[in-house]
Amino acid sequence: MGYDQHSVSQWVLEACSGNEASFNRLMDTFYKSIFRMIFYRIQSQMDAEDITQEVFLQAFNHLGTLQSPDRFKSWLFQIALNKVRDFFRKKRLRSLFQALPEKMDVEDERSEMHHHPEALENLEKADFWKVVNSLLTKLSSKEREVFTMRFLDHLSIREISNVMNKRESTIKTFLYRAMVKIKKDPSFQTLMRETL
Amino acid sequence: MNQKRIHLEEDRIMALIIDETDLSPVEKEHLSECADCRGKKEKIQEEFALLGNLAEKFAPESKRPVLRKKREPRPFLTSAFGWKLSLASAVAVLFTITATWYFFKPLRLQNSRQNASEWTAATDHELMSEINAMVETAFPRTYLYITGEYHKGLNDEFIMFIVPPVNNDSASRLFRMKGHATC
Repeated sequence: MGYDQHSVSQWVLEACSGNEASFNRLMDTFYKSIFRMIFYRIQSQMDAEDITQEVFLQAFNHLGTLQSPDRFKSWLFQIALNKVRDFFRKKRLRSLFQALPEKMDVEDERSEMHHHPEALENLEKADFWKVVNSLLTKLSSKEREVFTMRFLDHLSIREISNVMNKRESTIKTFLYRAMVKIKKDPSFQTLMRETL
Repeated sequence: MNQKRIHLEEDRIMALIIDETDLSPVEKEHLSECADCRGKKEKIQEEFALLGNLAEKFAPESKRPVLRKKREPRPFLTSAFGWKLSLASAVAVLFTITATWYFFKPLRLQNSRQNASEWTAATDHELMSEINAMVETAFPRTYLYITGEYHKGLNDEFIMFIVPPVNNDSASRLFRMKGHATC
């Protein structure tokens, strides 16, 4: 990921004592992974950008509450996950008062595909996310979250257990179930065959 | 030796991908010797890793510049200490008001009763003073002629006729005439 844990802990300690440059280093290190993590879940670039900024702003304001600097990454992902949950809660609430549901970015890309110079790439993108979404909807919410964190966000089992506040054995069970389901799914096999 | 020839099933390989320490010693030994099972394991690992790599490839790059905001002090009421203190103060004030109300309630009732009797006495006294003043400073009879309030018919004889004394009243006479004994 391009950083070592010791430097991260050092930057966290410095940022806690008010060093803004150290916090900026932390932000530069984790910004992309947090943005992607949020995008994988909400699949809207603009919303993902907004939420990413909110995550870092909240992290900056509450850095003093972080108990162990070694857990900064898990803590940051925890904030991001809570923000994503908030986003979906608000979206559900909004949808109650709206006649037409909001379209996702993936669908927008599909409709504008023929006018875009990178149409083929967009088509691939849209198809890929369609397959991923269909695979993930076959999992339970816990399995989906654990699977996404392990293989899309590249978190370790320990980091996932910290983010979700669950024991490592529980995380392994969820991950195992999710992997078995995904591996047996025909759309996953098709995707792998086409890609490999 | 027979056990070593039995290949690991796909489910066991996935458990191995999650945690290598999860395997039994026999399975570990088999894996170290069996190229087929190692190949299967690497293939499955590669597939899941590929899913992550594709997701990364197909995710957009964030175009927005990195936010560098200054830390803003939180408003007192929303700060962790502030809201607790505000809540505690509100509870304390409420408790004080309630306690004061209940403590002084009997005293207040007693006072209100005392005040009511005092007020009645004062009103009576005032009324009596007014009556006495009117009696003491009554107009002489001559002024009644001037004001036109004097009527000839209203002399003592007329009053006696309207309000006769008790021993001469008409009811007693009627009773006597009908032969009833006087009380």
